[in-house]
Amino acid sequence: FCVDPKHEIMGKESETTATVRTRKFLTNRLLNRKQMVVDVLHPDRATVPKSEIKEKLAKMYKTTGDVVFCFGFRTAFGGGKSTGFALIYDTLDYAKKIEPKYRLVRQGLLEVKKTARKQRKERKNRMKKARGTAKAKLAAATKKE
Amino acid sequence: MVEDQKQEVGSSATIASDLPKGVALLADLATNLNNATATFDVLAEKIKNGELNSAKGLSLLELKNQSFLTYMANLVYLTLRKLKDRLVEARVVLERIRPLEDKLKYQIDKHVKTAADGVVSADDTLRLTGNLDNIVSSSDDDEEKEVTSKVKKTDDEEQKIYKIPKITQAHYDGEAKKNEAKEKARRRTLNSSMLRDALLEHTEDPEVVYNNDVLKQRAIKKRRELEVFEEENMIRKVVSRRDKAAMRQMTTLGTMGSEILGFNTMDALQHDYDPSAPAAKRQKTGKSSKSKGKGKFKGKKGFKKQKHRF
Repeated sequence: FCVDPKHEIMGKESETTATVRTRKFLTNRLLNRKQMVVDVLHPDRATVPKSEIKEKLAKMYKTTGDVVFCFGFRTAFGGGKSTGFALIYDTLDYAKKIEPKYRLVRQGLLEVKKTARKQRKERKNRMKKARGTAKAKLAAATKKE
Repeated sequence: MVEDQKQEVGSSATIASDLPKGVALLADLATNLNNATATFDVLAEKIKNGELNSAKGLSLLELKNQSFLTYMANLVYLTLRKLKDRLVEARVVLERIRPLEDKLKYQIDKHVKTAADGVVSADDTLRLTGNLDNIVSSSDDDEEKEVTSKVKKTDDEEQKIYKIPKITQAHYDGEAKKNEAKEKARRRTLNSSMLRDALLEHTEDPEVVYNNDVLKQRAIKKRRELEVFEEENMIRKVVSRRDKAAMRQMTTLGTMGSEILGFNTMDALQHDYDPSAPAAKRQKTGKSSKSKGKGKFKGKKGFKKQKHRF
């Protein structure tokens, strides 16, 4: 069994194009967005990353990439095809108002500050020792250390 | 009565307001009459003397004169009648009677009809009133005694037997269920692959191979349903581990095997099959009878004896 030298597979073959098709397109006037089901056909390729799909959709619908939010991509058994959802907002303002926080974080539009888990637990344990007004005082003192 | 009083009050009020006007009018009337009579006398004299002869005059004016005279005469007559014969009063009374008559119309008609026919009609609803004599008074002593004694007897009996308190009606479908179970079992055996294969030997139809694996179809249907839901609502539903495993399992070919390998007994096809009763034990055949010899354990009896042993 010999390998044909012309068809050498080098590492990641991300140059084969993926086809993006949309289904069940709906203009949601109430939420100022367009929502659709996205089918991505990518034979000979791993699942296409969301950023790439985002860019492709932005080009298709002639908008910028920052108002396009895609999520929920599942690859069919055997590979080659994945299905997900996409929302394209009219403006970024609406997007910031309506989209759930986690999706905004994914897009990079929102920063969630979170204290470390350990710190939070330690604080809670310290609060357990106090009672009543002393507790409130302690809470204020230890807040956001 | 109240109506009449009201009417009187009303009329007295109007009378009070109209009284001065009426008096004034009367005075006017008197003066006018005097003037009229004066001129009239003069005119009458002239006519008597024959000064006013209208034979050669305009006929239209003559007509006018005559009609005026008749009109005046009739008007005077009417006024006289009104003042003398209580015309107004009669009219008012008639107007009052009219609504009362309307209200009693039905009864009046009924009575008139009865009078006209001479016999009371068969379906006369006025006769359908209650018979007051038949109403039994509650303070009837004899009857009460009888009733109470009866009640006491049954009470004693009832206290000995325990009866389940009836809260709501419970639906009992025992018979139907039994038949259903029987039917179901029967259908199951008939449609099993074992019997189907057995029957294939005896039919002359060409063998048709369907690709409807029931379990697989169910899985496919479920999956499709889920897909539709997810696309409709733009949400990915969380499928539990068990369901996921089931979905995965259905796509494998191994599921077919269970159907082939499943053994069904023919008990369900028997007439006296009872699905709720414990399944009959399988009767041993072949080996045992052989070992015991030839003639002794033939037929049904032989089998029964084997059963005792095992």
